[in-house]
Amino acid sequence: MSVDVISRDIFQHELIGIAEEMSVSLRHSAFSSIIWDMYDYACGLMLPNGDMISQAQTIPAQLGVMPTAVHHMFDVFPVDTWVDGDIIVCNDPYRGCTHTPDICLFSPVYVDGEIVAISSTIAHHIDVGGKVPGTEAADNKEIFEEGLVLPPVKIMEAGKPVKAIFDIIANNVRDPRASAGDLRAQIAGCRTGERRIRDLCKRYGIEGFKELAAGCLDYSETYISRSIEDIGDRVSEAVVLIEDEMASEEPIRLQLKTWIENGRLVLDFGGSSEQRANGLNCPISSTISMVHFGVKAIFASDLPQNSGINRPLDIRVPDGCVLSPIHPAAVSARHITENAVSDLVIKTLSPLSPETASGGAHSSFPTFVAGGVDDRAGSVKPGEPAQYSMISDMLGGGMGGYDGHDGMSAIDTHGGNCQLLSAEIMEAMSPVRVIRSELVPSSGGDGKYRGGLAIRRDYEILSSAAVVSGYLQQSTDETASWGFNGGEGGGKSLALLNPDTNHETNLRSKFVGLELKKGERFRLQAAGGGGWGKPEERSQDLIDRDIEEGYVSSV
Amino acid sequence: MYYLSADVGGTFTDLVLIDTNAGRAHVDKVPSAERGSAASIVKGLDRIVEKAGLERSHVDLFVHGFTVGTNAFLMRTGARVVMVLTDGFRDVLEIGDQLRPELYSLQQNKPVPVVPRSRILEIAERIDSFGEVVQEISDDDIARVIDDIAALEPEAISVCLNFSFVNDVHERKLGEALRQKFTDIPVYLSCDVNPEIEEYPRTNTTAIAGYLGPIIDKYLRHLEKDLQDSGVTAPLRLMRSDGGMSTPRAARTNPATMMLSGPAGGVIASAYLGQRLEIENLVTFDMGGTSADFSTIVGGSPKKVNSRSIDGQPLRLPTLDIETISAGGGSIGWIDRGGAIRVGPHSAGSIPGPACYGKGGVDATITDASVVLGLLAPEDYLGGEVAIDPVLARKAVQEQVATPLGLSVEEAALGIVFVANALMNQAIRTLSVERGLDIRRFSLLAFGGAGPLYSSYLIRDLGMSEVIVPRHPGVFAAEGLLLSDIRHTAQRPYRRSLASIDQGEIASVLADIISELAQELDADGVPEDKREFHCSVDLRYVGQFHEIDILINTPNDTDWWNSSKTFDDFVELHDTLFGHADQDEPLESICLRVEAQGYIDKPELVSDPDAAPHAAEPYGTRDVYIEKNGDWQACDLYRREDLSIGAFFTGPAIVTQVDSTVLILSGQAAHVVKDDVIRIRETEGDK
Repeated sequence: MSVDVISRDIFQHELIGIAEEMSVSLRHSAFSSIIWDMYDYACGLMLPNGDMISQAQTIPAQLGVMPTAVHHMFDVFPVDTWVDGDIIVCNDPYRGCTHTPDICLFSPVYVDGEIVAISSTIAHHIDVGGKVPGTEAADNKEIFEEGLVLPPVKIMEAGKPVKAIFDIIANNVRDPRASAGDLRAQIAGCRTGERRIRDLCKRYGIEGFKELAAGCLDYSETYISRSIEDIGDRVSEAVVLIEDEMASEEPIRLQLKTWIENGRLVLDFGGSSEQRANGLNCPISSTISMVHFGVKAIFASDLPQNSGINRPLDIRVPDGCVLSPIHPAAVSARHITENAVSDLVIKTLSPLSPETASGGAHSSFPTFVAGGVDDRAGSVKPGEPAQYSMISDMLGGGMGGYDGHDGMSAIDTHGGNCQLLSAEIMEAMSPVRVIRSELVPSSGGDGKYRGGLAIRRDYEILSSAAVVSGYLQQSTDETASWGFNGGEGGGKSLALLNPDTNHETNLRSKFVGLELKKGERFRLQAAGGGGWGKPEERSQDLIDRDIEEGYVSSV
Repeated sequence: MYYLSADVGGTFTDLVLIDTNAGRAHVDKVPSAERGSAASIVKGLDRIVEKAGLERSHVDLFVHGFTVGTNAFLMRTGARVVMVLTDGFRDVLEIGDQLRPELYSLQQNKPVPVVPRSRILEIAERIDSFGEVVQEISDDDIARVIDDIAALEPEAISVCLNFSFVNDVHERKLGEALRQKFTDIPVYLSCDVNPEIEEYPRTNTTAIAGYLGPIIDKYLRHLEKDLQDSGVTAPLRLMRSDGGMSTPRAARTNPATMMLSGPAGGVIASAYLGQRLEIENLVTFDMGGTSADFSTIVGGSPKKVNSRSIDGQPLRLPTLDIETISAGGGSIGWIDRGGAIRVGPHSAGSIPGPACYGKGGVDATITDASVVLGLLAPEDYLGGEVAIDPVLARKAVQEQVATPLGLSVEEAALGIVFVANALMNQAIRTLSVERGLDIRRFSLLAFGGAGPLYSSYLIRDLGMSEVIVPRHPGVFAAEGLLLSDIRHTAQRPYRRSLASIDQGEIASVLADIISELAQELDADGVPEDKREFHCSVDLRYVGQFHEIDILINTPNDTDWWNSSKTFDDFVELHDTLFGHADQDEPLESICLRVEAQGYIDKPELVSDPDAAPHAAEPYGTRDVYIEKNGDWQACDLYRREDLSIGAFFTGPAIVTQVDSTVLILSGQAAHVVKDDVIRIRETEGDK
């Protein structure tokens, strides 16, 4: 390594700063709340060979997607054909993208006639067509049901918009204004990255830039290599099951075996279920992305993201399995499976690095979407028809306990980073009232340090009628979160119709098109986190506190 | 007139006494007493009054900024609060926003709510989003809650019921019953503290009011008594989080407004200095022992926000827009597993402090690195009040950073300083980019003990126009305390389509808020001719969720309401903040806000005008190591008290003074201008 440590470390901070600046400029010009409030987007910078050199901290689910996808762009447009001002767009899950709502952009950064870097942004668009509003439907069977699929095409050519592409997009999505606004924001993000990389090259020279970037990648590689050194010849394997309950009653099996081979960490997903005839299939880029998340969570939680981290990884996924589906399998609800992948990676690596590990976390993803005419007296304006309204919610659960502390309660875990919707905002915007919003006592797995507690919400329909669909995972004993080092697994998730009444009904893990009337209620409950260490070693102080605070229901 | 201010920090209590008759300021510093005590104030007050040759009774106004609230919150040493919430919402504080503090670590914790679950009671009642009562609050249930509260022996009670910001009838009824029963315990209602939509921030802000109330009350009672005992008759005023001044009465009414009293003074002082120097756009940079605070002054005014996060929890009250990072003189430099230099977030604090303090510290702090580089030296560090040992500094940097990386001790020390600078650069960039500001047009106003030592690196890295160093960087925040006015704010929900707003109706709502605030000003004793009211409306595009606060006229008899101008103002600001704005989309209002100001006479600072430029005379030189791949080089030393207005000199140079140290790099020039301010600029083009 030829660069000096200090220059490299400063440069590293500057790269992070640029990615964060891209993120700010994208977010600030975005149109949709999914970007503004849910951070469902990503910004990053790559070298012309596709090595990621920096990525902003938005949602972890997009880690490592860009370098996977950019090679597919190169297949169509060799890098030397990218002109200054070009931007390439793609959202094809079978060309390195994730699911169709995630639209990816790539633009070259030219300095003195040479491409020195690639600027990239990904944003989750609110809708890209398909059979349901919002595009995502877990019961899709083929990608053809999942809306517009753009192959790699230029959306900007030498700085000029390619009108045909914008028109095709506008003509295929349900909210063209939102999509156009968010695309414009993505372009702004790319341009910010280009401008700031050019500034950096002015400062360090092109050669200096290249050397320092290489130094940063080497540093991350060194960091991870040193972290995995201790694994030695130990082998670890684990299985995580998730509910299907659409294409099959058989749960989907995710399996991973890991060991060190030639100094690299092999992650072999052999033995995982075949792809399914539903939207739970997880495209390869999302699988890779969540492997990166899991490895980072265990070995390098505060390391800036770049491709150097992944050099010592050897990821093996059999084609045609649920983690590397073959076209035209549906993938739109891949985030459910995706969170299970991170869970599996963490579960497999934990025994190899117990000092950074914890009990298993909630990854149950309890979500609903309700739609209907808001005919509440206060909402209807005199002389006007009542308006259609849609609302959705997603609940967090418990993280695992770890050596020294109970797991956090009420958290959106792993790939996600979404805020909980305020009950007051929900009721102000839609005819759905939150009746209760509370922690579920005893939902944390027992242990010396117990798992965190799940959120439970009861909702009531306030309009004459509404249609409700939803899904969740970790609803059975075999899919719930796992304990570690002697700790016990966490509480299951559940969905109930008309809870605490004489017509209370259990809902399945995916429920579609439930027709509810005014006054009817339903309950969603997330999963708790797993415990760490043997329950009998739990201190009396912590036991007393659990009783006093009601974290554990007194028997 | 004699104006006195005191800013109590963790290590020192800074005092400023302004004598308007003589047109001069006295400044002093005394060690702070133990945390949460006001004892150092009277000690310092005695000393500074004596130095000025005055009696304590001569002081006409005493203004105070304090960190008691922040510390009680951060260290969770606040009052024992019992909260009453709507049935079903007991866990609103524990659940929070369901976000995790760090994205990747599996081993992290959330900041603990200020009121534990076991002290949160629920009451059956329900009001809907339109303000209609769905379920009445019952007298029986109120009686039950009162019994339960009594059993929990609270020091304060906070109440937050759903949709109380639309209809406060249940909160008021419950509040009245509680106040009748618990006559000596303060009761805070969310409809008074923070009447805005979203239950989590409203509940948390109301919880914080209860958590800080008894602590701040006790602190103020001691202070008031101490002042009275020592013969100070001047009225006491307190700095609020939003840079306004508060009477002790108003601080007790909503203690949550005092949370960030501490850092506000520096920002107010910066805005004032900017005005005097006719510099409209400033980034303020206040660096002390444990952290660095940044804020912006745009177009002459400090930026304010209506909500912020503190230690990961929402505080939804107007505050100055201050960002804090954990980079201070005591922040520790270390090597990670991959061989990179990291700085912070851990700090050596005041115990053991930097290694060079010789109190047992072994970690290499930013201060130690600066001592190794010759930026700080025993003979002039804090006027010699704190002894430092360069040998210990060198040893720490050598052992912790240089040896493991195979670097020279100088390169390692420079690495620590540069990595800290990189963190600060990033904080300034994010602060400015987030707010749509082009920092190249901004000056960097550096203060605090450590700010002026690193600021000349920051302007070079960021391409900012210049560094501004006030005469007394170490006590600058205390000066700011004297430059503010009494302030009260209030808001009302007001959801209308902008186009359909009726001038008469909005005027009557605003008149209602204004009369409420006028009562506050009455209680503060502000005469009518010293009052001003500023009205604004929170607007957003229909169906979007990001509202912007737009100033509107104060109602008068004629056609004060101008809907189309308000629309245009919104569109313009939306475009600045978010990069786009739609001319045709309808807007809706969310709430009306009024800010009431009660003007306080301010000290007239007279300063010598700019004088003819003349070269300054250094009193000596010292070897410093300030550039990468550089070498030890001789650096001119100047004493601050020797620098008169008009003096200029070029870097590398160090200016020493009791409360701070100023560094000027090679290629930069310093010029002393009016108000004894040092302006540092690049002499060569953009580096």
